[in-house]
Parts: sequence; structure tokens; C-alpha cells
Amino acid sequence: MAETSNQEAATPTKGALSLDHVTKLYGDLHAVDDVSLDVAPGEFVTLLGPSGSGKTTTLRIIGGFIQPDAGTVALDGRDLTKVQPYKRGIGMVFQNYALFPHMTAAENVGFPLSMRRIPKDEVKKRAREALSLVRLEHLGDRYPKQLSGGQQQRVALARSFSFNPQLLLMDEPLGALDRKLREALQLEVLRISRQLAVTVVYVTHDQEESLVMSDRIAIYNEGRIEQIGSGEDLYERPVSLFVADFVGESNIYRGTLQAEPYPSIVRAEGDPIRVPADAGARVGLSPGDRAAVVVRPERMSIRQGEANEGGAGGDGSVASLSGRLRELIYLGSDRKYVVDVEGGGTAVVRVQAGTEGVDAVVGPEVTVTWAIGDSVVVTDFAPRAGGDSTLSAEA
Amino acid sequence: MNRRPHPLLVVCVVLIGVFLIAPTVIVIIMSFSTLSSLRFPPPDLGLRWYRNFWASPEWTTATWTSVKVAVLATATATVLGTLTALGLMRGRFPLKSWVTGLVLSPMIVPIVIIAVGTYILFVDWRLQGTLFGFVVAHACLGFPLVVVNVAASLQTLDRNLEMAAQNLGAGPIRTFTKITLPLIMPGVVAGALFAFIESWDEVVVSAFLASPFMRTLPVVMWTVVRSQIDPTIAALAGMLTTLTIVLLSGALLARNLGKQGT
Repeated sequence: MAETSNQEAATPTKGALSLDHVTKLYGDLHAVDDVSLDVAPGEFVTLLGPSGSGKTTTLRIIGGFIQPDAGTVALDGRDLTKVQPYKRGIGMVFQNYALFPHMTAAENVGFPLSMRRIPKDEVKKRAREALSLVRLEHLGDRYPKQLSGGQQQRVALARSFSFNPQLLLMDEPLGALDRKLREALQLEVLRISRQLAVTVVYVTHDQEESLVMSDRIAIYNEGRIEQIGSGEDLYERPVSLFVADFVGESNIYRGTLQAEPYPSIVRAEGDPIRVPADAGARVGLSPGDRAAVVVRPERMSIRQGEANEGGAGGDGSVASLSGRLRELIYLGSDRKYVVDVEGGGTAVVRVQAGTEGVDAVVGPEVTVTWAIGDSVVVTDFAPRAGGDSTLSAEA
Repeated sequence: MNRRPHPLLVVCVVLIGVFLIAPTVIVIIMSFSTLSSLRFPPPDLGLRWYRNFWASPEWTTATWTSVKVAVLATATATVLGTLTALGLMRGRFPLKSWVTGLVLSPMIVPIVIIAVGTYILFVDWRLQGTLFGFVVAHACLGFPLVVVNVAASLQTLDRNLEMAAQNLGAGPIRTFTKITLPLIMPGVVAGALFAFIESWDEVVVSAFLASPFMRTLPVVMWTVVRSQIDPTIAALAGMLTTLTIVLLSGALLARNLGKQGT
């Protein structure tokens, strides 16, 4: 296994997963709602979303434990939708590891191999190899009970790939571990998946974890994929309020998109917020539509005193908001300012310690500014929801 | 929790304990008597009545019958009970709670009702006084005990383990034999031991089913005690008590092992 992976690591050719309009209903609830997703061989894709958003259901549909009501699942062009789970040949790591308590670590890892009627000696040898890949070769004789949480997780990982599947599914595999161990294992999982050149579909609700590990992240919301893209795409160019809010910390101001006299988001109260000219078109919004502007805290800067030119920057390249400083939070390397903004809402500004002029900001009257290029305009409701206008109405 | 119990409570508990255990202890002590009447305390100690038991064909035949009935009834009850528990815990079918009640009814219905019913039916079917009749009747009594114990094991079994087995390439049958069965084994063993004990000292149904040629040990004991009292019965009581303690300890041990395992 180790040998083959070294040769193939550069160009994985197998393990292309394709979900085509997959839907699963529980009564009236769309647990998974018309999800289509193509994962390239060797790609690491994370399904990220709050609990109950359908990501685990999607994973179980891929694994074959749940039958979709509509749509197909295909691996390397082969339709798996009607194939029994034990004939799919897909590896899976379960949330609580699901190690067999009556078998040793090595027996657990060898289980999928003996199920494939591989001779005993070979099973032992390959189980040992798989365990050495997760650096547990010395603990093969231990029972799961005798292993720590992190070690159990590694055994579960080794078991999931010992039979060389093209695709690995992971259902919040690190959820039960403490933070430090989780961070170490994130890199470990990443290293192994690269080494095996295996396609991975990973479920988590931890957005930091998804940013660390994934080639692409699919943001789930109420059974649908709200946006899919690299971590950078999602952080820098979210398309919806939900995505902007879920990935990273954001300052969000909701209002109506307007083109005149200058491109801006007009809020119910307070000054309009200047945005880039093409910002609305990117997400298919036209003037008059409900929209929100998203600005990341580290892109904002803060200074003492009131804004001098009102809402618009002098040359149109800077947006600003006036407000009153409510809190200053010291975070070691950073400082976080929480500002009550004129016209409602808050601005969280993150400034690196040592930045010039920071020490002068003591409030209460402050101005928050940012380059308008750092404003991202997003839709303020789920546009695919069709008749669902309750969200925008309530705003 | 570490508070010392009140002295009065200690006295009460000890008295109740003595009250419960004393008859058994007295009988066992009397079984070592050398006299031909039951007297306490016995003036001399010996194994006379134990020898007498094993030398008497009436006792040994009944013992052998009891062993056969108990082993066969236990095997039947264990297989059927385990499968039933799986069906009840995993299956989805209409009237499930009614079926559950029906399955457990031998534990609830007064034993004498079961005995009379079985008797009437078995006389009709010519099963009264046969080994097969005993096995069927005792298996029915042991069956709910197996169901209850296996169901308890299944309740604590992590369904993800079975899902994992399927994911790793095990079909339904191998998932059951390699994963589910080994993990619920403590419950199966406990249920089997309870079923064995149920058959082993069952007297009411057995009395109805017995014929002069097919009698289990408790039936013979009951018959003998009614006509004559000799310390053989005390010797037998000693042996039965020991056996029951061993089996019950085994059943409890199996249960606890199961709890630790998962």
C-alpha cells in the first residue's frame, strides 16, 4: 500500500465522485435538497455547515446507508445509487470511531481485508502497514478500550483506508478530541490522504478545520449547498449572507443596493455604505435589490474622532462609518475594537498590536474606515428558495 | 455517601439477611447428618444421604431427565429468543408493542394457568409425559428471559458498529456473526443461564406434564416430600443450591462483562 501510494501520489486518476441532483426527504423536511457535487480524483472536499444542515445525511447517502429519494451517486462513472453499502468499497471514518471493541487495533484494521477473503498472512502484513502509516504499529495488540481518544481515531483512520478505497468519507472524525490533538490530527489526516492520493469527503461544523484541510469547501444550509469553493473564495468572495456569516468573523450591514449617486448599500438608517461598482452584479443583484455588505474585521481600520466627509470617502476609494467605541479587547498579538455604529449595528475592528496610531484611539467618538475594494456585496436571502420571501420580509 | 449507617439499620439488615438465608443453611447442614430423620443440629456429620441419593435409581433417573430437558429447552429458548429480540429491537412492523407483550406473557401469566393450559393441550396432542413435551413447555418459559436479556444487550450496542462493518465490506450475515453476535454474547449467555435455571427448578408445569416414567427432579422431590421425609432431600437441596448459585453468578458475571465491554 505504501509503495503504490508513492508511485501514484502525483496524479490520482481514480476516485471521481459525482452527486447528481440528490434529494432526501424526511416527511416534509428536505434533509438534502437537490445537491449536485463533483469531486475530482484526489481532491479533499469538506461539507461544512451547522448541525442539521444535511451534510451528514449527504455523507451517508454516499456511503449507501441512506437511500436518496431522487438523484444519483456515481464513483468513477459507475452508478452506485442502488448498490449495497458493503459492495461500494468506500472507506469511512465515523464520528465516534465505531471501532469494534472485541477486536484488537490490528484486527480492526484487518477486518475489511478479511472480509475481502485475503489470506491471513497478507491481512496481518497490510494491517501492520496501515497502522505504521498512522504511527501506531507498536499498539496493534491493544484493544480499543486500552487506547486514548487520539489513538482510537488513528486506528479508525487506518481501518478506513487499509483496503485501498478510492474514496474516503469522514464524519466529524476529530469532533471528540481536544483542541490541541485535533490540530495535530488535522495535519495527520491531510498528510495521509495526500500520501494515499485518495479522494476525501469530510464533514465538519468547524470552519477553521475546514479552512486548514480542504481543497474546496461546500457550505451547507438547510439541505442545500449554498456555495462551493476554496477557503479563500468563501472568505474573500462569499455569495450570500449565510456564507459570509458562517465562514470567519464578519461585519455585516444590510440594506438595499443602489447605483446613484454612487454604488452603495443604503441602510434603513445612517449613511449609505459605498461599495465597488461591479459588486452587486457579481452575485446577480441589480439596483433596488435587498443586499448586504460584508467587511472582515482585519480589513477595517479605526481612528479617533468623527468622520469628516460623511459616508463617502473623499475620492470614492474609502468607505467609512462613524460610531462610538463600546469595547476594546486585548488579544495579545491583536486588538479588537467593538464599535456601535451610527444608524444601527456594530463594527468589529481587528488591528495588529503596534500599528501606528492605535494607542491614540480611546473613544468615545471614532471612525471606522476601509478600502471599498474590501467590501463584499452578498445576497440577503437565499435566492434559490423561490417563493420563500419570509427571510427578506423579516429583515 | 460515606456516612456510617445507623446501628439500628445495620441490625435490621442483618436480621432480614439471616431470616432469608437461615432455612437454606439449616437444610444444607442437616444434609450432612447421619441420622435417618431430619433433626437440627445433627449429632454426627457424614455423607450418608449424598451416597444414598446417587445410589437410588429413582433420583438419578429424574436427575438425568432434568438435565436433558433443561439443556434442550435452553438451547431452543436461546436460539428463538435471540432471533426474537433482534426482530423486536430492529424490525419495523405493525402491532409491535402487542407482539412484545405476547412474547413476554409467559413471565406475566400466573404459572398455574400456563400449567393447566399446557396440560389440556398436550394431553390432546399426546405430548403429556414426553421429553419433547417437557422441552417445548420449558422452552416457552425460558424464551422471554432470553428475549429480555438479549434485548438489553442490543439496546446498548452502538449501531454505528454495524454500519462500520457494512462499510468495510461485511454483508448482513457476516455483520451479524462477526460483530453483532460477539458483542451481544454476554446477554445471550445470561439469558441462556436464566432459561436453564427456569427449567431446572420449574415444578408447577412439570408436575402437570409428568408421567410415572418421565419426571423431572423437582417433581420427584415434591412427590417424595409428601410421602416420606428423609435427609436425602436435604442432600439434594444442598447440591441444587450450589448449582444455582454457580449458574446465577455466571449469568450476572456475563451481564456485567457485557456492560463493561461497550
